[in-house]
Amino acid sequence: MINIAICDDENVIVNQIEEIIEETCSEQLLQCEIDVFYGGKPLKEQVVAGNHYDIIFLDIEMKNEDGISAAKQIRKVDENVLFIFISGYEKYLMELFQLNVFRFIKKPINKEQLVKYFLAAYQNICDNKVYFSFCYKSEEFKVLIKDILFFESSGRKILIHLKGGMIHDFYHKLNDIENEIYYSKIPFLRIHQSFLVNFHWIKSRTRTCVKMMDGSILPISEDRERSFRMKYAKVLGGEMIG
Amino acid sequence: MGNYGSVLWNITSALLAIWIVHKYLCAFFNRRKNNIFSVTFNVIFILFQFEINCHNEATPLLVLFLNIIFVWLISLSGYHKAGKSKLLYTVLLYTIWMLLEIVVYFLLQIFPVSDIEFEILGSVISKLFAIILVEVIEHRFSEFLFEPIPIMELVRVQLIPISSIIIAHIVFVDGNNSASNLIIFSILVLMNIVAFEIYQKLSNSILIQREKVAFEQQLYMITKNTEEKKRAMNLFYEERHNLKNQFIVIREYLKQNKIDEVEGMIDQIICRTDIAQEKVAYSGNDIVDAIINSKYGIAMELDIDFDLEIFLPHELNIQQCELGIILGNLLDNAIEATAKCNIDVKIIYIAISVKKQELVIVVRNPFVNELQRNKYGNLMSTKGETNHGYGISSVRKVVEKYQGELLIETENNEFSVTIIANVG
Repeated sequence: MINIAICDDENVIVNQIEEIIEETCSEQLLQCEIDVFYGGKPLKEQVVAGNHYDIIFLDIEMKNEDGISAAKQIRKVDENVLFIFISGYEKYLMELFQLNVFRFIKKPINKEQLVKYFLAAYQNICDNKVYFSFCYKSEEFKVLIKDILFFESSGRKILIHLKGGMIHDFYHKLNDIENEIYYSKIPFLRIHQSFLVNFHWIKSRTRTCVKMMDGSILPISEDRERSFRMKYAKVLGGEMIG
Repeated sequence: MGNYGSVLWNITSALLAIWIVHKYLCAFFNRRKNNIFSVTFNVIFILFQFEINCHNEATPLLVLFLNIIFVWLISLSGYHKAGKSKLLYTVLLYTIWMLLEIVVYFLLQIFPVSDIEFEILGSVISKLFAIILVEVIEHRFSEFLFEPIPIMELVRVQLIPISSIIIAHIVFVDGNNSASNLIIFSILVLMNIVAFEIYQKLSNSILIQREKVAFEQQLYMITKNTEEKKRAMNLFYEERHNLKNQFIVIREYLKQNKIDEVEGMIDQIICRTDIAQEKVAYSGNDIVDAIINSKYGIAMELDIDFDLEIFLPHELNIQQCELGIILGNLLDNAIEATAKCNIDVKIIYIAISVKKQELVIVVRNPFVNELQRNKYGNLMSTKGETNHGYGISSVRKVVEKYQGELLIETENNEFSVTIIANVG
């Protein structure tokens, strides 16, 4: 069951999107619940109050930058929600692009494109429900892969850095983890002999280091520079298609 | 003077030697940060110099060889750039230095001095000469940037100092202190200084060659640009001309009071305006729009359509011309490749956005021909031997500037180029 929010000040657009989503869900036998908003403020209030959405369709051309400010507030509270921005013909500032937007869609809304993006978002959410399990001192632990920021190897141990600052450790080899995690749909990048980083948690990078969304800065080793860049390009490009 | 003076001079001499070496190297290379290797090699060199100053018995060739090796190691560890040319410079330096010492040695033979004084005087004077030489080099040669030259040329130029060393040793060992030997050594010194000049001119000409290539590239791009503009202008004038004719017809209809026909005519004009519209990109960024619209005109003439997914901020941290180089070249290549295909529907897919502070560009197009790779595994140009085909390498240069990457993939007859550039 995924939660969807549609926020647009134009009734016509809201109805259009709602119809298309409901149609797609019934065709593909997907479970979803849709909430509708006609302004940024009510949406913002709901999310801040704890109502969690998986996908939010948001019009960024509402009056007073209502949509944009709502998006910013929501992003502060929820790093995972997928934004699909509905845009018109205005000019946008770079800060909008720093909110980690999943897709953009232009008005008038093209049905095929909307369905394509919606299904991609759904797939993304499903892929994110995978767990990573490990053993430590005869106890088995399970963490959601999407909550793992990066793996760090230190001596014979592996440290898992999780969202929220928690760190677990266990005995394993980073090479083996790299191979295992390859089978999950979430891309992990080996930037250094000792670091394996979750692509989705990368905020930005320079030639020599990677900045994560929690503020940590991790080094990129010289001999992995090129291969990291190529894989990074491949994943970024892959996110654009479909 | 006694032993203390001697020892003092030996230490000073060793330190002077390292100072001369670094001054010389600084004229051609940029210093690196001090690391454990450079410090180690420097210290070894100083100790070595001190040792040979104290004990003068070691064979000159061995000393020379070791000097060259140590200085080469110092240059490799302490300075940036090409290791091959560093070897050349080291050999050149030592050749000239050694020859200078020999010249001084001969000159001193003229004056009656005791053995110890002879040693020290010779040492002092030859160091002085070396300092003067290095100063001269620093002033004359430091303006020029040395481009790496092909290794065969490098080897050939190395032959000059090496053969000078050999000649000098043969003549020296012969023992004749005649004036003709003095002349021989002076000539050898001059020859080596000339070797410097040759190397410099050689790398200069390579630099010029590269500039020429870059210039031709620019000419090509400007020509293309002008052609596109001409096309767009012609289309514009044609439309205006048609419009004028249509208005003439409308005026006639009005005179004859044929209102329905007038309405029909006006509908036609409205329709035509929509079709002839070559504006297809609304990305939010004017520069990108301009480039895409410009290429769209050409694509349309070849029956190629664009599938666009472009969302960009109003301002990007990348220069207009650089965007032009990247997009322009990618689209030119895509259009050229698609045009050659014999398929019903010709579409080029273009996606551009900003993610994680990177500008991400993806261009996909169908293609038919076998891609040819050159011996380095890079794709070869489809254009002839002459001036064209610098598209991808220009794009690579821009992409490198932004610590980005250019990824080319081919799958199922579909050619895909992905570019990322750090614009954060």
